[in-house]
Amino acid sequence: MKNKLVKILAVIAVPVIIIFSMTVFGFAQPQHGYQISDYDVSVKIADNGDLNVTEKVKYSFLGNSNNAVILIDKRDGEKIEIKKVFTLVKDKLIECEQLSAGQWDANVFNGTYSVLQETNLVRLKVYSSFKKQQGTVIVHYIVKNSVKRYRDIALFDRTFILENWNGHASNIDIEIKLPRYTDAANIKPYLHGVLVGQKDVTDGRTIKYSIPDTVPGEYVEARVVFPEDLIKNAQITSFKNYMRTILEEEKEYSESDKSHLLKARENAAKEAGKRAWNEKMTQKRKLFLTIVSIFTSIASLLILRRGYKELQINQETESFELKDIPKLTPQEAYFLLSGKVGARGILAGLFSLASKGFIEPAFITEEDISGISFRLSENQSAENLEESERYLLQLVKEYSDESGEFAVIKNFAGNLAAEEEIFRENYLTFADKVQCEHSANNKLTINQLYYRNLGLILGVVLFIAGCIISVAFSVLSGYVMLPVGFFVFWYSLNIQRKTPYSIKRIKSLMELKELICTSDRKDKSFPYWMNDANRLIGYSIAIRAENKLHLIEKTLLDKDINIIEKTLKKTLAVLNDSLTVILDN
Amino acid sequence: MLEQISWMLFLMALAAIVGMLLFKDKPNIIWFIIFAELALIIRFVFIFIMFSNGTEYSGTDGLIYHQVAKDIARQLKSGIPVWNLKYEYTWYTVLVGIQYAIFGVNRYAASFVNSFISILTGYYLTAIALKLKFSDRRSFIIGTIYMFIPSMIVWTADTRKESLIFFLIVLIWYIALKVIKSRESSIIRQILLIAGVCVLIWLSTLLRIYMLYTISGALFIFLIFYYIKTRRRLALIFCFTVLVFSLVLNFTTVRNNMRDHHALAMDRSKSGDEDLDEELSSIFTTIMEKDVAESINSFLTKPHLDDVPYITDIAANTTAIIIVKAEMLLWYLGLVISIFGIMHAFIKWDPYQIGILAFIVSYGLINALISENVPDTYYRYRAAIIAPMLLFVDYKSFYQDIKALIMGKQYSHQS
Repeated sequence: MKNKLVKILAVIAVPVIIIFSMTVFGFAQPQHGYQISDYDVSVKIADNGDLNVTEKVKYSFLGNSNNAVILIDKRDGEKIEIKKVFTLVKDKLIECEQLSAGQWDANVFNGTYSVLQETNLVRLKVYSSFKKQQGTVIVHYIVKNSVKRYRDIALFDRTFILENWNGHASNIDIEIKLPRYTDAANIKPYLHGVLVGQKDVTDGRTIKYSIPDTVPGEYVEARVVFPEDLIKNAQITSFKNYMRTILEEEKEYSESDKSHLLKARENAAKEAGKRAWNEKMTQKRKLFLTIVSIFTSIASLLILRRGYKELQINQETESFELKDIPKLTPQEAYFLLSGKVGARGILAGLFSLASKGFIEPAFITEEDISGISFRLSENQSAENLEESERYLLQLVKEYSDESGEFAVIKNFAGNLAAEEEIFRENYLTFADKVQCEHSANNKLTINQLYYRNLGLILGVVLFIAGCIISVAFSVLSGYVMLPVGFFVFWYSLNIQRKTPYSIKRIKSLMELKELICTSDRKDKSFPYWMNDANRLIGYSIAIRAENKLHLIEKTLLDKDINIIEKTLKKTLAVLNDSLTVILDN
Repeated sequence: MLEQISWMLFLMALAAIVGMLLFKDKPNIIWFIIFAELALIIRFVFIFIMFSNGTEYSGTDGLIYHQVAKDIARQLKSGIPVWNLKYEYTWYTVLVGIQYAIFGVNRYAASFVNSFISILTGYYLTAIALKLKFSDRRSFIIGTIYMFIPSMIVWTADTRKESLIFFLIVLIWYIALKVIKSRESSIIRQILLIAGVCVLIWLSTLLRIYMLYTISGALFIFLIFYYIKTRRRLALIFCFTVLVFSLVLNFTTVRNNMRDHHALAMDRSKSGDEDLDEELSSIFTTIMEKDVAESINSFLTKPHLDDVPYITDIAANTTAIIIVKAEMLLWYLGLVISIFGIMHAFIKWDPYQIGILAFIVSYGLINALISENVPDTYYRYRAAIIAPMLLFVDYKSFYQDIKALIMGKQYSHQS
């Protein structure tokens, strides 16, 4: 049996370990960095060499960030002034408000931005109510002293997608407008940083760049050479001729090794492939785990059903009726019904001892000291008593005073603070003994034991798998395993309450309760054992019917039944409270 | 600098005294106090490093709260009473403002106080564990781990409100446990403790609006289950008081503070700022747009190891990246182990632990569903459940119970 269990454990543990290790490595490869689906730039060059730039950036993914960042190229001598920033929310332009450096607070979602001036760039952070990691930002800024003026030419040179930006951008359109018209042949546009892209001088004033996309590692640098007299109000950068230098630089660029750009493309393609593969695997894994979670949940329920059927076997042969109830001690009866011993188990046990003549109850009815006390009877042989009863009797003897009287409330509530630990130990020993007796009477068959243990292990595994699969793999159906696993576990844990032994006895006890609660003595016939008042009280406590005793008797033990009910209620309350204290602390 | 040193020494002494008083009857407490002091010193050092690197530049809530607090201090000095103060963002700024008004504006001092509060949280977490009858060793380990969690050091060192939020959560649960466990307390004391819980719920609601529902709901579950288990009338009275108080807060504090809810990407394209219906519909829209399973995953597991280098505040800082990655791995491990602790709480049917679990689940769900889907935000907001979660990180008890069961012992609900 033990070997079998080890095998079952091993079979179940291996997939769990695999699942667990997958939780660390199995997350879908996330997309990092920004993704821009449209990037439109409009640059107007003023005749003083300043630039008036408007960038419209449409983000299809904000890189798991709560803000959109635009990096603006800043070169030596340049000064960048952010004029206006807008975000597009539901097709409406929302003008953003500038925060002082780095401030971040709740209202950022209204549309705000911060500007961080760094050495070679300006970092513009825009906060808005971006949804699904998407958004559009329009920024209008001025770059002072941007265009360089030489003796022979003027040079516009700016990078729009920075090399270390680490994002993906598509549909990049840049339009540069010169201050005035000139002969198109005098305008020379150059494009750096990408392998594919078009540049075009559309008329004597406008230069257009069109780049289909960029990947991390690529950049977009636009360089335009045009006649210097177009920016006649600009400061002269240098009095030398510069065209020759430009041509040399461009020659150098065109002949340079562009393997890093190829490598960037290759890396991006690899990344995309890896992501696509991961995405595909994630989908497959989700589907697989959905099936697994549903299948294992159903399979576990079927196993539970099989276990339930196993419990039904021989149910007919088990017979237990009202008249047989005294075969069951009241404390076991209560344990059967509630799964615990508690205050009722103790008091019911005491009345059981009373019914067997070992102790004699007395109901104290004085106003201030009402309660129940038990007086020890003449010495009798305790051989025929159950183990738990013997123990209870021993405790009564131990705690009774010199006259042999044991007052329940006084002993429990009065000495509680001083002897809490001892009481706790006594109670747990008594409860343990009741439990052991019950286990001995209510033995599981080998098959029932097998299904109980299987259910316990399966329940735990299912619960754990439910937690891991649902959370780590975002599989909604994985949550089904949580209640199913817990149900399987709980059912198996309490399986002894579902055996024929338990069911028959619980049924009889319920029948007894119904008999007490709904009957009138004239109409119903009670089993003979109910004539014993102490026994009747003991079982009525066990089945929670002690407050209905008046329905069958007017007097018991020569006392008014109402007094007995009241005293029982009080004693139970005190006992219960004391036990809660003992077990709580 | 002398002022800073005085503050640090004073708070360290206070931390030692509180620790000694709280755990006076426990053996080997000196080591725990030493660790607590060490955790406090680490926070102090971190504050100096953080401020010298210009935290304003990298941007945090701390700066703006500090500025609001300065304004509050000005108002107080001009004779405006506390109840008439005008403040923005969060009630935490009032607290800092009062400190500034009394002791002078000093952001270091405010951050030191936050660090001290964080250590107190560790103390009370330990006290809860001890009251739950965890072994002394396990209880002190829980408290120590809490005080040394790197992200906790970060979130609780600046002039942010996180430190106070975590403290209030733990304190509420501590007092709730005290009310139930201290049977020898007088009625007046019990009434005061219950009133204290209600006040703390109110303060938590002022700090984070949905705390009302998570804490009150979880307390309700705890107290109802406790009542069912023990039939103690006190639990029912406590439960009813919390329920009534929460309903009052729902129609007062929550309504007034709805629009200031942090980290919720509300749609403000239409002029709905003052309109509660607009706010609610915005929240529901946000929830409906989310993939529930994905969001729960994100809340519990983000930042994934791959995301860590991309967290803006620690990008390019290798040490910080390694620390966060290590913390994440430990968090995953803790999550897996806590599953056993959760199952054990259920089989023991411990109302208190089930209540705490309800708090963790409800807090987690609310954050997963309404917070913005950003790893940094999830990381910061998740920090509130770390302390209660630590109470479940134990596989041994469950394993021993199951082993005993399989070996033949029958299960009962005795204790």
